[in-house]
Amino acid sequence: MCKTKVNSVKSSILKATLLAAITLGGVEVSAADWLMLQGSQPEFVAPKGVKVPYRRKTPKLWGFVQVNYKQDSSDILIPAGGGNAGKNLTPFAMLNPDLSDQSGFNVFRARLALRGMADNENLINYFFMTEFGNNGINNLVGHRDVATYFSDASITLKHVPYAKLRVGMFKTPGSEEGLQAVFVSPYIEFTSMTNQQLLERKIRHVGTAQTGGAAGGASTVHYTSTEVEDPVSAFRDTGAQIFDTVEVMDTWSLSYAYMYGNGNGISMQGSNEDKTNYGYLALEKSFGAGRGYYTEAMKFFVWGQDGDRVLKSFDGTTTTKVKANRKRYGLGMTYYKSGLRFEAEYMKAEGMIYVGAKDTNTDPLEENWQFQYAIGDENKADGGYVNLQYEIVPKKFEVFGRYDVLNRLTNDSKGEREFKTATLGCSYRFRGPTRIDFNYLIRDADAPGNANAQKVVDNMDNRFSVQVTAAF
Amino acid sequence: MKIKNILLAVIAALMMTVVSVSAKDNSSDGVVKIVYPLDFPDVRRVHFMLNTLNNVVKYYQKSFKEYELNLVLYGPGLQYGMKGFKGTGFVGKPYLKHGGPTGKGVQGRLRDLQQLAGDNLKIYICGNTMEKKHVKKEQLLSGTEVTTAGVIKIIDLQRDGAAVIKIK
Repeated sequence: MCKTKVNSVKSSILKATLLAAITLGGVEVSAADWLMLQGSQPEFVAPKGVKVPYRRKTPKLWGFVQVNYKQDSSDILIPAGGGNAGKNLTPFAMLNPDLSDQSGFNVFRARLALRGMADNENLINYFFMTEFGNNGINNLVGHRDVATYFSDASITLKHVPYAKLRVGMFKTPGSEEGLQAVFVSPYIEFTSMTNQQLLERKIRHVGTAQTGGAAGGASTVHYTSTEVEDPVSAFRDTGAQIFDTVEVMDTWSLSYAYMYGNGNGISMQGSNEDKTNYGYLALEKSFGAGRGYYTEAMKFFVWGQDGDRVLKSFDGTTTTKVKANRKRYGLGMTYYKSGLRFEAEYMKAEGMIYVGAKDTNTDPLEENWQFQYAIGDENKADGGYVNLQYEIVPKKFEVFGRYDVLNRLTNDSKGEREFKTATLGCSYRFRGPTRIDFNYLIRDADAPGNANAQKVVDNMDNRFSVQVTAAF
Repeated sequence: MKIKNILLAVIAALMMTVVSVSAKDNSSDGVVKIVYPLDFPDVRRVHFMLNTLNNVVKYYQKSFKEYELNLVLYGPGLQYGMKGFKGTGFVGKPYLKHGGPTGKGVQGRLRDLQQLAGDNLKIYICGNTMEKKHVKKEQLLSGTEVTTAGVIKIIDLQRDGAAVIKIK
């Protein structure tokens, strides 16, 4: 009896496997998604219309340069007296990555990349990218010594059907804004939620626990770094990822990814003390035309990240370990067809809530920026954006608008901050991603339960940016 | 009456002779036959081929000479005779519909040529290539005709007196 039941179960599994193989087998995935675009060389290419298996042995050299000019209209607040005397309390008035001024030109990104096939059958792919620009990778809040000068080095093994394996340093499964190729979007700055809560600034060595005035009035426990030791995570990590995209119906495809990473971003750390799990699932309907950023498609996705974070707190005499968790998750959708693009995402953060850069230098003319976090699991933030873009002249001239919000520390009435940004702009494309973008950011921030903090954030004002991108 | 019948028979015989001679002139010496093989993927060569095809049609129409123009699409060149690409070994590239000297792409220029030349232009599609690249008949452009093998069609047309014009 028991044996019969086992056989029946085996038979059902076999049938299900066969059914899956029939449904999924022998299909060619046409939908474009960032997991595949960044992690795998194409199965087929058709440079002159004739589809042939990809077998190019020479690496593909490509890259891009982005130069921008920004002008911020906010006021700078540096109190002359009190506990914050000489400290710059308005990092939001300063320009990334060094937070040293309110206007100027910047070679924001200058990347050179190589990718290709490392075998004869296109089963082993590689991806390598350098970064020479002045941004969080090489000069995070003015700490040039954290520079890595490269952001990606990965190998993809495609031997197992429907389970490609990527190892090395690369973009983690996550939000669309972080996962997409950064040089294709006409928005010069990330949304507040993405910039503050997803784009991790790693902290390792911190001072003692802070509350009240030292924590912006918050009642929750904060910690501030004592040194900046790592570059910005750049939405990346070092680890291993299983992923693939399969066609499930005629025009629908399903993408999945699971990654286990060290949780160290792009810093040169072999330790997995901050180990992090990443997951991603997307269902995409292809409308059949375009490629890459211009793939006409509609996509729905969910993602989640959960990692440990270990801080070393030094009280002047002894060092103690402080353990925390960093959770991030969200869902969203994208739509692009006939020159109309609509995107929306909603994201949540729990634990390791970034509450801003803090100037620790009491000299009014000098800044030493450190990062402050509300580390406990009880600390939460949420936010998102809606984005609408329309190509008035197809693939040439585009106008766009995006509205994004971030509610930070929603569990702490004194520490809560609300950021609202409307970005309006236009973009002229010379060829593909080679273009000029104009952005105007209408910014506002509130501290609903903290009158003193409101006086600080009232200094926030609008920002104008223009950026030229050349891609090759 | 007999004389009248004989006269009518002679006239009929003479008329039949004239028709026969005229038909013989059309099928051999009078009709200029040309065949263009399109077996390459390079779109610039295709546009150059279309330039020469247009020149041929204009010349013979202007000089009132009878002509028969044959375009044989096979191998990588078959993509230029397709309107649907799903599930095939070809990819619908933008140059089919956009670009070229007139901005209409290759297919727009082919349509213009079909209108200009009318029945004098025949476009043959290679059946062997269709089979190998999984192309269905309904995925072909209208006004095209499937032939068993493109290369055999070229040989047959050449044996029938057609000049083979190879664009390089």
